[in-house]
Amino acid sequence: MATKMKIKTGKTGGHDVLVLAKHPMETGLRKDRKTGKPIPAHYITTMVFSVNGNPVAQANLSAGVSANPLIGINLTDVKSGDVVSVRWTDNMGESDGAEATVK
Amino acid sequence: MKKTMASLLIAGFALSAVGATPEEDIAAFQGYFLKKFEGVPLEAYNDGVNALPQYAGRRENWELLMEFPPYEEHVERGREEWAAPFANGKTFSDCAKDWPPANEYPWYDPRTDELHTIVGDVNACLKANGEEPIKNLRHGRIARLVIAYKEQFNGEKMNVDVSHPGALKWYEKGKKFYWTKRGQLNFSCADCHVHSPGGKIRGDVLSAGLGHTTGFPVYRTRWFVDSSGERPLGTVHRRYGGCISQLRAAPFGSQSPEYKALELYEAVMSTGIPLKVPSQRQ
Repeated sequence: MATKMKIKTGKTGGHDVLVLAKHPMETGLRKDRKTGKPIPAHYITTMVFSVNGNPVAQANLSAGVSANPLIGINLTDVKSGDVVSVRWTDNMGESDGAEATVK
Repeated sequence: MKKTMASLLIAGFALSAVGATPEEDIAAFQGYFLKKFEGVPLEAYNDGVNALPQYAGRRENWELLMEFPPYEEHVERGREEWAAPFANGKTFSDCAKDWPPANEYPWYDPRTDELHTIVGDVNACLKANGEEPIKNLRHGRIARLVIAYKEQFNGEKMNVDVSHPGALKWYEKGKKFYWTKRGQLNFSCADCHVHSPGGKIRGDVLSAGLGHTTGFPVYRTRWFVDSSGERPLGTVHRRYGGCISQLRAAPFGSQSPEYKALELYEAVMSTGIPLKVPSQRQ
């Protein structure tokens, strides 16, 4: 499960941080087409954004969010050289993250 | 109102005029769209429906999707497959030395009276090197390989030569196909993509017929959803099949003479539009 991050200058000011997490985001309500067995729920629960190691935003996701979610936030108070990082954890305890530097 | 109806009819007739040369057809076809969608330059038509002003409301969503293009992993896989040597040590690149640039496809070979598509040439290359030709010509590996070849020519403007009388015959066949009504709905390609682009077809916006082949093979979100993510890529012939089934007509096979001729006609109509492979479509 890979996570990608991109930082762009925001259209209305600040910086847009975009994160694409590759994740199945299973609801737990679907059945396997071949075996008929339910597919266990597997979704991201929290996604924490940090600037230079200090948490600045948290997104609480649930099973209703699509697979491979694209999450974006706008940071108004970052400057060139700041390191923005993201870390997500899912209901199965798996975790991944990414970081990028503001240009 | 009567006057506009009459001029519409005349425009429709002029666009499909019998006996016109390809050059006249290109001028009429492209002129029609450039006038219909003022402000959309010819080069922008390789973005398909995303280029149209009627799609502006959803364009931002598409631009966001393009930040992390969903086809990237498939493109990388295609590059690996393209570079992988055959059992005899040769690769696709050895075959491709004899191929015309991707922006000149489909090309006509007067020696065999055959119209060559990239899909056909990829399979001919496999066969010539003692490998098993690819059976599925609609999605998967074949689409990835075609992308691997075409993306090397991204930005090159479409320039297909139909000056040979044999090529012209293929061209006329494709033109006839494009303007012929078919299926229970009795629609021609042109009914949707020339007379109604920018209009709604249920929740979707119809694309302009101009530039249709320049982005193919494409990553289509609909295909991704329908196949649970397994077969999101498709060749242009896969799309033709879908289109024709939706008219409630029996589709032709991939690489059938009908689709090859249609591909040629669309490629000629797109003359001057840069390649943009792969692309994402709805």
